[in-house]
Amino acid sequence: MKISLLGGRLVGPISYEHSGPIHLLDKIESIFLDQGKILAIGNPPKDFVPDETIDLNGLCIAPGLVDLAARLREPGFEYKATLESEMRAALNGGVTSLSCPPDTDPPLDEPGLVEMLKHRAKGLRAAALYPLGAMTVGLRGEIITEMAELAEAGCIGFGHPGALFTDTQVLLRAMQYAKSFGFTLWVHPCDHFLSRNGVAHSGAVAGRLGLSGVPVMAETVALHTIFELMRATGARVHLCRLSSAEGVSLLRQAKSQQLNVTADVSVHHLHLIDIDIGYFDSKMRMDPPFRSQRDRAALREAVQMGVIDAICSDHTPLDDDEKQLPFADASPGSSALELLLPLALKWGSEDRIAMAQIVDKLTRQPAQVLGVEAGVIRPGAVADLCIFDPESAWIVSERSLLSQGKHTPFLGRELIGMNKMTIVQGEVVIDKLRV
Amino acid sequence: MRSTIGDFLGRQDDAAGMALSPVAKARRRLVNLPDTISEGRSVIEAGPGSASLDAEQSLSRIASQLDAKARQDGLHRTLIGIHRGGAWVARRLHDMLCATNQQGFAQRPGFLSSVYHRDDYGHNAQRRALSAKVAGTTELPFEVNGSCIVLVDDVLYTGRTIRAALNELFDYGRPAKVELAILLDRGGRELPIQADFSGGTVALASRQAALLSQDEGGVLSFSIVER
Amino acid sequence: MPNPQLTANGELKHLLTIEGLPKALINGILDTAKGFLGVNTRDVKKVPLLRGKSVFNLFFENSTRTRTTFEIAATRLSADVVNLNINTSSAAKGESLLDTIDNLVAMHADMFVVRHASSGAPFLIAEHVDRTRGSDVHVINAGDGRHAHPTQGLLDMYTIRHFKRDFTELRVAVVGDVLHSRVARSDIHALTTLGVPEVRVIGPLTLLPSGLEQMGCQVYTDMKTGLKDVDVIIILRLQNERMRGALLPSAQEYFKHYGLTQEKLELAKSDAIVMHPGPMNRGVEIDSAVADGPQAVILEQVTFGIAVRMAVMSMLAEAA
Repeated sequence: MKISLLGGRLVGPISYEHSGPIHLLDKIESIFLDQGKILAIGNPPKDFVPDETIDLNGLCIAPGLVDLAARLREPGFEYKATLESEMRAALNGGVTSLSCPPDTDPPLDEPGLVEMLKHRAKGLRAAALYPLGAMTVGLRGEIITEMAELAEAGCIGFGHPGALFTDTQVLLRAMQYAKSFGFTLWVHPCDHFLSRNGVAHSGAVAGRLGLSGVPVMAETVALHTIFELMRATGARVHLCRLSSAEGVSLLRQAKSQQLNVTADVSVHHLHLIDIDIGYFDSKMRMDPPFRSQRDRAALREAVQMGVIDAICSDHTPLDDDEKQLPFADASPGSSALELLLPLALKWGSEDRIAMAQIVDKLTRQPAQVLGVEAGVIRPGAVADLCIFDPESAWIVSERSLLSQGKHTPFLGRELIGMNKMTIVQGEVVIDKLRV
Repeated sequence: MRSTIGDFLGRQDDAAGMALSPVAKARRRLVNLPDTISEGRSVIEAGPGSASLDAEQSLSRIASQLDAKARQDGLHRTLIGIHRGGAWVARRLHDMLCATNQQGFAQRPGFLSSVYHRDDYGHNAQRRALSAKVAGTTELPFEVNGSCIVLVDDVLYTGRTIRAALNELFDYGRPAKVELAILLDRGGRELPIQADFSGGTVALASRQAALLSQDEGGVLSFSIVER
Repeated sequence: MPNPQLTANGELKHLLTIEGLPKALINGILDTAKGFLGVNTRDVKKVPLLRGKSVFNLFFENSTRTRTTFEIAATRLSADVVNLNINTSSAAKGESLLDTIDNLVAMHADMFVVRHASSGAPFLIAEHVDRTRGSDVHVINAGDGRHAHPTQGLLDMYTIRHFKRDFTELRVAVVGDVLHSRVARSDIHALTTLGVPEVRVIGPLTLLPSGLEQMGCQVYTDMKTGLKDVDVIIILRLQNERMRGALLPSAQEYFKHYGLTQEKLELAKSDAIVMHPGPMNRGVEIDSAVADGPQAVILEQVTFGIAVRMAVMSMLAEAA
């Protein structure tokens, strides 16, 4: 289908040529789509007769967002959420490509499971799915998985969600094996023993509230171990959900030593700190925990400077039974696919960062971490687009979220920035513009 | 709330500068009360007129009533003052009675707080009322069983405080007899309770309150306040 | 964030933690408790203030001693008391915490006394009843995880006030496993709110949480230095699990360096009082000679505890 998108404010990583240089732009341009791809930017090609013309009137057009971590709850946790509902939520949030962690039930440690998942996703008009495989069988941290088979089935990397397993020897072997094939390992820098039973950032707030703490040491000790093994093996590692200033500092050092490392941060950690737990608000229960003001400032700076490569949603749909519990008993996590964009924009406007830069960290940068062609608007690229209104205010409520997970720290709050239209492979799948 | 109406009307010392006894001064101040405190409604009604509001006079009156009764029936009575105004009255009363009738009033007075049995608890009553600082505590250092008790209070109005005080008293034992001595009866009873010994009667509007105060010299005086 | 314990007028509608309670309110509770002490020594130890009210003791964590004191306090106020030991009943069948609460509210409970192993549980309950039932159900925290034990904090303050009068001149030492102690946290908040100029915390580093300085305490790892010239010593219970959790090597070593003996007591002021929330581990955190000695006021704490709980319950029941 030929579509003309007229008068939009193109913002983010753009290239005017098929394989030319990419620039971070913010300008009014029109885009022309055909057969699921972007045909041209700026002026329509000769003899281009659109089947549909959409006047964007200055609304922002960005590449479809690329989310590095969104739990879809299938297989195994269908009572919490389904592929349909969560893919719908992703599209509603302007996310057109996403990676899901392997902690499903059973975990994604067999090619058959991965194939089934990809097949299910294809059947829906959904975001492109890039599953992460399990690094070890059953996620038990003992035996490494058949990474090559899993990669063939579609895994773009191999991960271990949550605190790192304790057998360092296994991690070393996993790195060596992954390096042999050129695979990326996704690890959470979190020491198992130092973080055991912890539910909040070790500090004055947790001390006052009588909550078990997770010290920053849990992150730095794990980072030291990971970097040391990386030096020995030359493996490529992506660090998931950095949380502390000291962690950022170690990461910066590692990058300066040319270690093949990338990192992401959950969009929540750019906003919330330990004090926000307030009177034991279970919605603030998160892994890693929200740390101090100083840590938040360091994370924000790190993203801005590129030390942290990408911002993700860490979307985790949970039901009432898991959240309406005393703080330490509640399950960690928050529903975030639909909040990724406005929360990232909020950070940008607070720290006065150009919108194009913000968009870049939600599109091209995460795509690079995934190693896929996505997140850039250029002629010839798949037409995955996120059209949003950066001024539109809305209240986060159970009704306004399409995800089955309704628990987020921002419930009841007003956010600015709303996705108005999502285009996947040249097809309008979310249309809140023309209703 | 501690000053008298006389103070509001301006201090009026004896023009000739004569030294007056504190009691006399108090009387002087009270006699200067205007007839009408509230709009269009006369305050002073039956009884001995404005003298009912003279606390010291009323005190003397009930002291002699009690003394006379004690001589007549020969019973040994124990005074119990109801916090807080009644407690002051009970102490003064006991001092006066001991001077004239040691035998009939030998026992030192007890004190009683009626708060735990009040009937307006939880019905928007003043919250601080349960605090021991404000409400005082019940101290009855004698055997209640079989005793002749005189409950002493400053103002008798609806009768609810006396009802609560009786309940409190009976938590300590079973007296042989309970009588009531009151400095000022302002009418308006809502329960079947009457004073056996009364210093005087005055009718007040419902939004008025009669408040007893005691100065450093121990002298008692009433003031009328509007809510 | 509005304090969930107070009404819009600043009156107490739940007692969840001492933190955040205004000084005047704490003093008001202590003053009210004073009156109730008198009730507990009469022949008829009962006043009708809570007559007809239903008080539910919801103990998710076992504690006969605390439950009993609350039961006595409620009974002396003429309330009807129902004791629920949740771990043996509905929770074991998988009923959620809030479902349990809803069921009890449907039985017209007026007041919940809650003890729970997780910090913050009473807040969850209070917020839930406020949302579903408005202002006529009250929650008292009888101990939540490591977070707070406000009635214990209040009775400890009552005890100190009874023996020492003026808080603003005192040095108070809290000794022991502060990391795991809700009593310690409540005591610290109360002491600092009431204006105690020196609150000392004494213990090995493994038993002290972070953030103590921010709570207004001075930290001592040497008991002999820490006890010098103090007026009040609060000894905390050491639980056996601490030895197993690699926090301490042995009870003997603990007693040698952190147990209160007569010798160490002499470093404090000669009229210093010794307190303990109970139950005591004799020979672990406190020597029998001290526990049974003239400076210990541990039994008085128990007596005051009932009066303080009566005060709290009557003040809550009065709230509009």
